[in-house]
Amino acid sequence: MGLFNRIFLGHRIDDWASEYSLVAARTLNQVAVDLIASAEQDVSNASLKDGLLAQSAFLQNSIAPMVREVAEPVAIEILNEANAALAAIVEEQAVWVRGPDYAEQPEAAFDGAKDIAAAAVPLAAGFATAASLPFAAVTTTTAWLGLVTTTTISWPVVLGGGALAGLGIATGLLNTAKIRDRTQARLRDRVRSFVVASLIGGGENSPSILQQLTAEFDHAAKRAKAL
Amino acid sequence: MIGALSHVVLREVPAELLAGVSSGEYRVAGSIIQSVSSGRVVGHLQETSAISSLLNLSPLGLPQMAMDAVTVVQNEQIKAAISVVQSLQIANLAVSGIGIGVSVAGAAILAKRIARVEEKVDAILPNLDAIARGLEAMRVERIAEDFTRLRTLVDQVEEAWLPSASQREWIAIARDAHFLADSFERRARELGAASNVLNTDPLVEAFALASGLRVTARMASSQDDMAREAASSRALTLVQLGEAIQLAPLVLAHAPMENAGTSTWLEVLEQKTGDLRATVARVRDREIAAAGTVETLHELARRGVSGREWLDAAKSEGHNPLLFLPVRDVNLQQKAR
Repeated sequence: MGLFNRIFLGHRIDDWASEYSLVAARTLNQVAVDLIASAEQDVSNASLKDGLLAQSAFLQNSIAPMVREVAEPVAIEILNEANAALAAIVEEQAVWVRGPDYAEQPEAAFDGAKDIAAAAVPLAAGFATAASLPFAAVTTTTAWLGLVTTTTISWPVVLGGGALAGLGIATGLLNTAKIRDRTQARLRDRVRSFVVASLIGGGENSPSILQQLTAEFDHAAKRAKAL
Repeated sequence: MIGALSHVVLREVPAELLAGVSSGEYRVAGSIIQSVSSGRVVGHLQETSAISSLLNLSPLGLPQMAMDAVTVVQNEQIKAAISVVQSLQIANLAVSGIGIGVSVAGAAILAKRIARVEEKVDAILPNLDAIARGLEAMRVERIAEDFTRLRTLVDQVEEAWLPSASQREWIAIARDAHFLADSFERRARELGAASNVLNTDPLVEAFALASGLRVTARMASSQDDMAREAASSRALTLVQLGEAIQLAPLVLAHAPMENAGTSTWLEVLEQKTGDLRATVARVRDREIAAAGTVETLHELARRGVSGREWLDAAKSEGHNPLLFLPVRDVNLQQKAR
């Protein structure tokens, strides 16, 4: 493939990575808004024990399953759409390369293009095969599910606030009458932090779904451009 | 006057191609017209010295020029020329200094361009943090010196077109431009490593201008293989320098996490996306235009047209703003055999 088409394809793949990262950001933010709103009933019904002493357990038992139940299919759908869009770009480029117009192109124009054309062939057989391609498969569902399963509950955001709540009680800063309101407010903040950290902005060691998706899109783009 | 090239070059872009661009069948990428469906390059555009006359119609630059000129110019031919420049959406190519033969449009236009780039550099310098300001590559007096040398080079290019100039002048310009381009590239890389990558943009533009002069000088000195090499290297360097300028990472970096999970965050996201999309698109256009020049140089070589002939034709054309080099249709030729 000539330099011009290589750079042109590189731009399209970069655009693809950016567009789907932004699609993921918008979608997951909306999911977060909805989850925070729908968790309100659980927070209101939470016992004092949940609010003061068992925040982590509350998040683990009540909120995390809800986050996962809603976010998982959304994330998978984003991945599927992104994979299909990348496959379409590759297929379109392969059509260019297969044409007779490149017969006179200089500098071994076919070399790189052949790789992409060869990689694109299985895509015509259906989307399911996209996952087997080194660059078209952004990530596998199984791997992603595994990651979520093992990381959501143990994130620092879940553990940190519980200790602070305990500290508030121990120093007598809260009077009993207001405990429920304040613990609910704190629980509400914890729920919000948990949802945001799970979906949009996690820590370095516990990346959110958005951070994982954008990293995967970025890696996939780099791999595709390297072919 | 396209003289010796009259058998390969057209002074007008064929009407069917213009219509194809309007309908979306073809796209203009830099100086290249390409089929959207097949990817086939159907022709190459070259701005001529006549474009500087059009530019002089408006002090506000080409995009505004086109609107002003259509209003004030009575000459139908000029109106038609402006219309072509507009419809091919290459108005900014001539003043960007990215196309082949950056000096063809004239030293005055390039000098204005350099002044604008220097203003942009001046604007970012006070906003850099202490670390970035402390970089050797960002020493104000050194940067100013480089811009002075760039302006000098543009003047030297103008002189080198004069009849008494020899190949030696062009070679000296090519070497100086090469050195200067490397200097701007180094500054852009160092600044990009220490600061917001968007701050590097004016330095990358300066690199594009200097390296464009290098390509022009190699063509004018009849060193076409070196011109092709310089053009390839230029395009690849621009891509490398622009690699960190990606829309989503820039947008997400500007969206404050404290608002995440709210509609405010989405609003910020949309606003930043709108703000940065044009910036990213401009960077990509610059890269693809540089890549287009490589294609054009290869096409010239295939057609047996020397770089010097090409530049001379563009330089001497005082009437039409564009020359058009149609790409030979391989299919038709094969069928004819």
